[in-house]
Amino acid sequence: MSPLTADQQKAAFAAVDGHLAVVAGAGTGKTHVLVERYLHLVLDHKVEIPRILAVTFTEKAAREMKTRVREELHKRGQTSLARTAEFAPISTVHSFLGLILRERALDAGLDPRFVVSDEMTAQLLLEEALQQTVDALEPGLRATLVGLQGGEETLRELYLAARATPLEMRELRPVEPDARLAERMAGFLEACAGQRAKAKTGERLLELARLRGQLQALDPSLTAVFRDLVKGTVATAQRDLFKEGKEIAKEYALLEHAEAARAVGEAVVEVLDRLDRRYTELKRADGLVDFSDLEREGLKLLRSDAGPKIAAEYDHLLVDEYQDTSRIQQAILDLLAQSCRRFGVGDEKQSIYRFRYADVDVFRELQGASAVQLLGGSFRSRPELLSFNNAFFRRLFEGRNVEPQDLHPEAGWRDRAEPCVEVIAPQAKDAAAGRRLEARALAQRLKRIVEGKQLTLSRVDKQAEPLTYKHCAVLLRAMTHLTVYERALAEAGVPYVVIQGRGYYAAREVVDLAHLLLLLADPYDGYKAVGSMTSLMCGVPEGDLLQLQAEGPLPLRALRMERPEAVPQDRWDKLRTFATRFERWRELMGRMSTGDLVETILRETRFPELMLLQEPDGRRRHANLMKALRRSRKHEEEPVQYARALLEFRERELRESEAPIASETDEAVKIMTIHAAKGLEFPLVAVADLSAQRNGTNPVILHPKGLFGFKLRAEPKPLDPPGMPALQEWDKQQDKNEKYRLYYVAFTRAQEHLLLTGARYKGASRKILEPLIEAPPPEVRVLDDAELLRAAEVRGPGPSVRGALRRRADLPAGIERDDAGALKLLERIAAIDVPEPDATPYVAGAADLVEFARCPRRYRLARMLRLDLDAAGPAEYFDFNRPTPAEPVERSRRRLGTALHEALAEIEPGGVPSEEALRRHLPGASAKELEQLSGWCSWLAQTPLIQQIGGRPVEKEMPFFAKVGGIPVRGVIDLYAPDPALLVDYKTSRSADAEPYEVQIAIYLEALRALGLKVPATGHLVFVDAQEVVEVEPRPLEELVEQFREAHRGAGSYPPQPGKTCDFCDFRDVCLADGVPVPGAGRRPPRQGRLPGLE
Amino acid sequence: MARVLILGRAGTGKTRACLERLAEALRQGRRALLLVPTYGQAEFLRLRLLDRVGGLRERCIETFSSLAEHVTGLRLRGLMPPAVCDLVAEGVLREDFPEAAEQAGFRAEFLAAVKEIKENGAALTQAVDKARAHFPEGARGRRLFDACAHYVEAQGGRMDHADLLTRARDSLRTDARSYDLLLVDGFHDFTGLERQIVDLLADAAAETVVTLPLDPADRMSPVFVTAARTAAALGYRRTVELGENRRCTNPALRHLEQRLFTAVRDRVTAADAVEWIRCASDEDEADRLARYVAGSGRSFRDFLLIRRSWDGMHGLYRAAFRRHGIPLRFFGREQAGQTPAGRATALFLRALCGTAEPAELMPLLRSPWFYGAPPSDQVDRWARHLREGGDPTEHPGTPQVRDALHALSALKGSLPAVLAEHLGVRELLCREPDADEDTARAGRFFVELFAEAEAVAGLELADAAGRVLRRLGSLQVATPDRRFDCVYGVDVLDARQWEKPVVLVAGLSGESFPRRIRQDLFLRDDERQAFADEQGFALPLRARREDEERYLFYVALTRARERLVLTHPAFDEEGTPRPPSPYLDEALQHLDGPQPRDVPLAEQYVQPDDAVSTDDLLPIVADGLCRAGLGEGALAAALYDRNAVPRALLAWPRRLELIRSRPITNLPTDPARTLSASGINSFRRCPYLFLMGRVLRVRPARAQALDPLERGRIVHEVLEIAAREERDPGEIFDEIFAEQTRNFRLGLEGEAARRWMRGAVVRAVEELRHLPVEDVEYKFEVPVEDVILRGRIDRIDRYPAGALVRDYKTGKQKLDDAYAFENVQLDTYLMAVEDPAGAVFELLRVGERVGFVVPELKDEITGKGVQVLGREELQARREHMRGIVLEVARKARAGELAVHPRDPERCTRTKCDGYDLCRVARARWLAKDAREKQKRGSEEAL
Repeated sequence: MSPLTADQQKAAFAAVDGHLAVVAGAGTGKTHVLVERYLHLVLDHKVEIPRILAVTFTEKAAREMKTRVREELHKRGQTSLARTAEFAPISTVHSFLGLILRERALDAGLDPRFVVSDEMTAQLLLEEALQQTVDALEPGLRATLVGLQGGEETLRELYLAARATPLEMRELRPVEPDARLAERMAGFLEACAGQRAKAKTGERLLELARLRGQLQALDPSLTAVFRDLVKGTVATAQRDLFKEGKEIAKEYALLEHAEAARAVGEAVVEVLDRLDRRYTELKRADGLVDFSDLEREGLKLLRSDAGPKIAAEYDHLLVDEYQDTSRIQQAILDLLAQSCRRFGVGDEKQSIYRFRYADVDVFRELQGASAVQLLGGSFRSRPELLSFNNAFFRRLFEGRNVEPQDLHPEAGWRDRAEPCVEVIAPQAKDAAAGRRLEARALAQRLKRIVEGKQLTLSRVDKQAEPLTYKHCAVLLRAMTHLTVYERALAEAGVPYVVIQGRGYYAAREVVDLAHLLLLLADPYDGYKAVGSMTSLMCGVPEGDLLQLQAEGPLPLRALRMERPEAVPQDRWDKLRTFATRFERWRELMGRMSTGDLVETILRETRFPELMLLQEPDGRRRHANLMKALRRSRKHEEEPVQYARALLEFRERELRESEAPIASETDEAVKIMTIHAAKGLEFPLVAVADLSAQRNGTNPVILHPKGLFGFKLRAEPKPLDPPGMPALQEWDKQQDKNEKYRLYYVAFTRAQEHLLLTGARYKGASRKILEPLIEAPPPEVRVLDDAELLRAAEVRGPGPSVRGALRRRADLPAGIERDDAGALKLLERIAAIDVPEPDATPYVAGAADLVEFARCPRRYRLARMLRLDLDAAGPAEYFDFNRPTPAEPVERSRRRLGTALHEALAEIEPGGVPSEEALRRHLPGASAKELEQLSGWCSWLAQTPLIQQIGGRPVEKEMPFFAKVGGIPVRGVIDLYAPDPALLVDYKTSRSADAEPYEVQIAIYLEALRALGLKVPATGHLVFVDAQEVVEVEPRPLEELVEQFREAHRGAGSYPPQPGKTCDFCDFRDVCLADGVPVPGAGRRPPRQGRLPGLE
Repeated sequence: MARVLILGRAGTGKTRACLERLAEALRQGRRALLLVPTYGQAEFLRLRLLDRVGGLRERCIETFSSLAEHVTGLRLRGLMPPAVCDLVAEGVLREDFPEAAEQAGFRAEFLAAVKEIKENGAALTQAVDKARAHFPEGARGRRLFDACAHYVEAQGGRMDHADLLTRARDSLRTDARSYDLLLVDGFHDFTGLERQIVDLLADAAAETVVTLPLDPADRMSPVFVTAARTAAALGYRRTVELGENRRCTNPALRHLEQRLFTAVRDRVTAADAVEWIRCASDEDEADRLARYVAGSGRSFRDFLLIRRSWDGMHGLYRAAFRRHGIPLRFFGREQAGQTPAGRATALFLRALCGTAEPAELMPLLRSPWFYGAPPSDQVDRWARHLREGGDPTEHPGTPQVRDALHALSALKGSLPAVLAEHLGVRELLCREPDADEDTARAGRFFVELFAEAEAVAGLELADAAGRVLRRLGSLQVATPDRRFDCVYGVDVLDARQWEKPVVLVAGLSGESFPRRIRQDLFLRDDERQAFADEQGFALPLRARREDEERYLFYVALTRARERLVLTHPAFDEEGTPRPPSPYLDEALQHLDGPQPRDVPLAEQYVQPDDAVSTDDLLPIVADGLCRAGLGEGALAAALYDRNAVPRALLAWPRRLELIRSRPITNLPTDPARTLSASGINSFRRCPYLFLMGRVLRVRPARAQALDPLERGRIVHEVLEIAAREERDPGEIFDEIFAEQTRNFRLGLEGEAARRWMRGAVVRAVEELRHLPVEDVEYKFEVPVEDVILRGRIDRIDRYPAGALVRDYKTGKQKLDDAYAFENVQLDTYLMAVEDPAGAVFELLRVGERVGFVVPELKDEITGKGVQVLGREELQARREHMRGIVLEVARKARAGELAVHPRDPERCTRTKCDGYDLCRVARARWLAKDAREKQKRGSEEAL
């Protein structure tokens, strides 16, 4: 560890016989000091390790501190102390409480092997307790309680909040009318008396003055007068005065239903108390203890006779992150500190756990009761960044009862010319549009910084490498609008990873699994049947399910009926497989544990693996399913209950972390909440969504002293009980302070560079960004909207996927026949770039257009994705382990066609190619093939059309390159005679169906026109196999060309055009014209048909 | 009387030395005994001994338990089963610790304390006397020993495991077994009782050899603290010191073994000997280890998988290894009566014969073997029921269990039925898809047992059962042979006798290795110490277990011959980082090289033979190619590198159109011959929703609750009746409400809803009662070309100007919303009546009215949202509606049922019934954009 600074030394080596509060700003080496203090106690004062209790508020901090203490002791050669430290009491407050509760279970009256229930179980029990409590209410109480807005929901919220205080439920008090209201009113009128008001307002004031006598009684009949009063306009100078007036008036108006509010409030207290008892009963019956029980029971234990004994086991109490202490935790720490020295480290500006009931005043109180040492040297951030933060937060915290504390740099930094704070604040119409703009601009900026290598890491003790994506973090206050930022980064091609999303219960794969489990219990539930069968566990499209028209449970119908014609065999197999499994799962359901059943399902369906392959966030999806499996093992309920619980938690929008994946080594920008970033640091930090304004008030408020606020049910709008506005105002201020502290934490995560982003729109919060834009301090650069947004509009593909993949896998340029498996297929697919928008000039082959006209889907697969391998049909393509089959018929025909064209090109029309020439053009041909080919040639020579051309000047195999409908098109015309103009194309297909070729003829004619040649009105198709000559009218091209262009812009669609040729289509297996193909589709027997392809 | 200590570090051949000596002694015809700690080790060493001597005639390798059985002639199966111990403990604690007797955890702690005291080796009465002298009246220690004495009384002669050893010791005292050679291997610590037994045996033996894992050169090595203490306590003077570690073929591993937990800091390169893989979670860890094994190219038998503890991990690892087709077995004792199947069988038989304790039946009921696993609370409830003296065949819980119990009692007295039942078990077993080979083997074994019993015709049930039980007691299911090609998972406590080329040590996170040791519930360390100092009654100190942890880690790391793979899960379930075990840190200090390896999972998944077969890939590839929303680049990238995904995703916005236009296939040709107003609405909102709700006819299951649908139904019904009957609307409402909500819990919200519904209904009836009602709940069917438009009108009023249609709405709609989304419904109604004069929604909850009327009715039908329209306009609306009907029908028939939300705001779970079915999740994302674009567009247009 680096040597201590003077401040740090003062703190770490302060006298060990007194209490000390260390105020440690962000990045000032708080943990370092704590560890040094620990070592100082152990090494210099020979305090035994088990007698030092170190308490933190997060697992992470506890684990880190323990590791560091141990490492340091090792480094200083204190091996045996280091080993003792492995079992040192360094832990979170909760695990410490858990430990003492177990060790002293007899005193605590708990089962020593109690299980700390997880959220899920606790929620279920609480719900059960709540229902039982409400159902058991006497009618009178119940009727009163109906007046509580939100009913059970509100009770639950309030209960959970109350449990985080050291108060018993009985000690809660409903919000009350302001006792000093009359006094305030009198004072207000007094003050008004001296004011000169506008005429109307003045009249009202006079009226009020007249009514003064009645004020003592708080007569609600005054309400109307007040209402009028507050509508009045007043001079600016009087604004504050009248604000007070308005508040009084508002409060006054609420007095109307004071009686009802009191009754409801009292009922709430009564019911919460009953709920508490019921809930505790239920938990204890199952040997469970929930998280807040640890605190409540721990406090009880410490207050009992055993308490002093426990406290006496420690001489020193070290507390990390003191500012995150809640009131109940404070009570616990105070009891523990009775006989020992307390060393608390904290920073009130970093107190951000109000939602978990942390109370920032607790640390202030500690500072009052102990010696105080400030740490002011930051090891984290650049000097410019520090001075920016110093000034910025001095202003922000002004008047908010926060002691400003400037930080100065401790580490050494290389010079940097550019400003280290950038503000991105695009103008927008509304919040949603603003956020999108902001997100895009942010993404572009990140991209530019990283890919333009604009920043270099500048700490002197670190290497000067350019900043990359993994050095960046985007911090958000909440994950509500996460998708907007995700998407913007995706669009910009910036890799990112979301750290710890909280949507586990809502995750699609978890829901799918829950549906299947519920379906097993009730197989007649069509909804869940569709849900689970269209998921990858079965994987058939909805349309197939529609075909299963029969009685009985949907999944099982597939076993009881013949295959409907509309469902192809492969998918039918899929359905039957699923149905068979389903039947067995049902049998197993009664006999297997939930965990085993879930595992069986996942294993047999390969659902997790398919997720991994299918979903862009497959790793997370996969991990979530594994988490579901794990959870299902943990809960011994039946599958149905388990599944129901999963869905119910989702319904209640409970937040649960998605499964972790190891991702921080990824070369990616991390998106996380500010809370998750606590304790971390990044070279570049972007704090986004800075103009978000939270509207509305919390419906349920609990003041730490036990005062609670609620709303009264009323139509059309709920009402506030008297006293509520003041409580709301208090709550709002608390929220606001918390918000600023949150920003403090966010801003101070940055080491080198800070990006502050938020859009400017009507109603946006102006507090953070506006001052920076109006008068930017020297460290700040306000980025130009226009430039950024221009950049944001260009949605280039970023570095090509192909490039990225090439590097990783070192792919060959093309796919080889002997590739070892589907991997190569994927490589091949990966190697195809996503088509660029407006990729001009695009040169099309005539055949492309023809193909597109025939079936856009096929065109996409064959020509855009280039999945058509000349050498292999799809069966071989996908199944590389298969022995090479005999050459299929259609391939032979294709070769014959090529040979025919080549041979005819060498001779004059009307002639017959020599046998030798035929052999030359068709090497390795069988006798049968040769016979067929020469048969075609001799028939051709005799057709009147060709004979008619004989001897005239002609163009054979004439290549052209011409604009057709604005698209440059390449092609080859088989035969063209200029005078009289005649166009001939040879076809080797079996039937003489000319329709598909109308487009081709049209293109050729268009090309001839473009080449300045004489253009015939029609073209002639010569079907050599069918021995027919057909004259073809060209088809109008405008619409087709337009669609074609659209398709290549990436905006078009590729609808399949099913027809009779589909059976022979190479892409039948992968075409979704009738749904998702199934495993084994590639294994069908070699086709006997032929391929009506272009020659 | 020679006593020798063999000292040596791991891999120096202590066990080998024992085996050699044992074999030599046996060859010479001497009586010899080898004592080892666990059953599994005994079995394993027997096999290895066989390699040396060819054949064994007597039991010469024993554990303390099996030796005790042997010496006393008692059987383990005759001991008190845990459930019975628990019941006895409960009875005792009711007297001695009434405050905690109900707590199962407390009873377990108490039983552990009793065991510890018994194993201390002192006579219990003495111990109690000492405790009485030491602890004051009422002190916890005093109460413990008193309770302990009471427990022994309550045992009433029935024995538990510690008693068996005590009995063995006593019998050895009086009747010493003399061996020519006594070998004690694999221990590093003994309980008091074990020590006494060893001493007694040693006293009678000609030669005694005890091995201890101890470094002869450094007896104070932190690893061997316990062993050193044991060596000192044994006091054997003669020692044989073993030298070299011969196990590890890899020098780096040897180096690690020698240096672990020492202060010497000479690092060697780990090269390929040690790997450290950092995993995300426990799941990930199991998966990666399975992949490691699968990808290593070695035989499965080359691997040993060690964890500090397998608590709660068996399933996870079984699943992960099974997914990769790797056989994994957990090593443990396999005595016939001890296997799950064996226990269940024995219980079953005892239950049938009526000789089972009621509490014992719990595991039987829990056993999936017989009746499936009832949830634990069911079993607990039943246990309570039994404790309270209830009839064992009357189960207060699920019918499933009740049936099982009835079946059980019905089987009594009928052996063939029993056997038939068990043949049923076999059936069940064969169909069990998860039955791994072990289970299957055990299953076959038991079926054979029954066949054996069946062969003796005419046996009474009790006799047959007795036979089977006896056989169960004497038979052993062979310990799985290590030559079998599978990966073994062992607890580190069981790892001592193992060595394998590759050892995987999993779960090396800070909090699981070392385990946290807590103070004893009854006697804390300081109390134990004081008790020992004063009374000489030395119970082991908890602190000693801390040293033990380090030794266990040493054991885990020294099992490998060639390669060591260390893994640690970097996050807990909540995603909080978990640091690696401090031991892991220490171990790695001695090595250069191992850095945590963090292989992106996806990279590994592409191996087609690995996780997904080519068959599986095909649909994925194809689907990925063609299904809009995930382009080919994204697909490939997903497979390769998650970070490339975002880049590929840029194609999404452009594919919005594709998502929307992709038809859902295979529609029936005529899904919509008849259409209803709500059907049309549904189609217009999102054709996909229409497909689900109207064509496939699936709807999410509704909970039994007073949800909006239910509320609407009640209000409509009340209004219908009120329009027909001149009764008090409040009365009608109360009647209907009570009737409709009879079956579900209303709660406070339901009660509140009842209040406003009643208010709204009464108000509406007052207002509407005297109007010229023509019809209520009027059903109509109107042909529109070949489509039949059908529906139901809530109420029609007849005015001179024409018919006015009213539709009741009970939601909290705002005026605009109601109009925007539902007006098709009003237009539909216009088509249903001959001479419409207008149509309105009665927004009952809001107390508003929305709709349109002809000018003549303008004064009669008032409301904030009521517009006045001319008759031509009404006609135009009808015509327009007609067009809509035809268009919807056409599209539905043509299968144009893609996801296409008209109002993306409704694409939420709460607002869309199809939310869980609609797989075009991205549409929700993108639709939002579209809406914004639309908005912008219209703004610009303005």
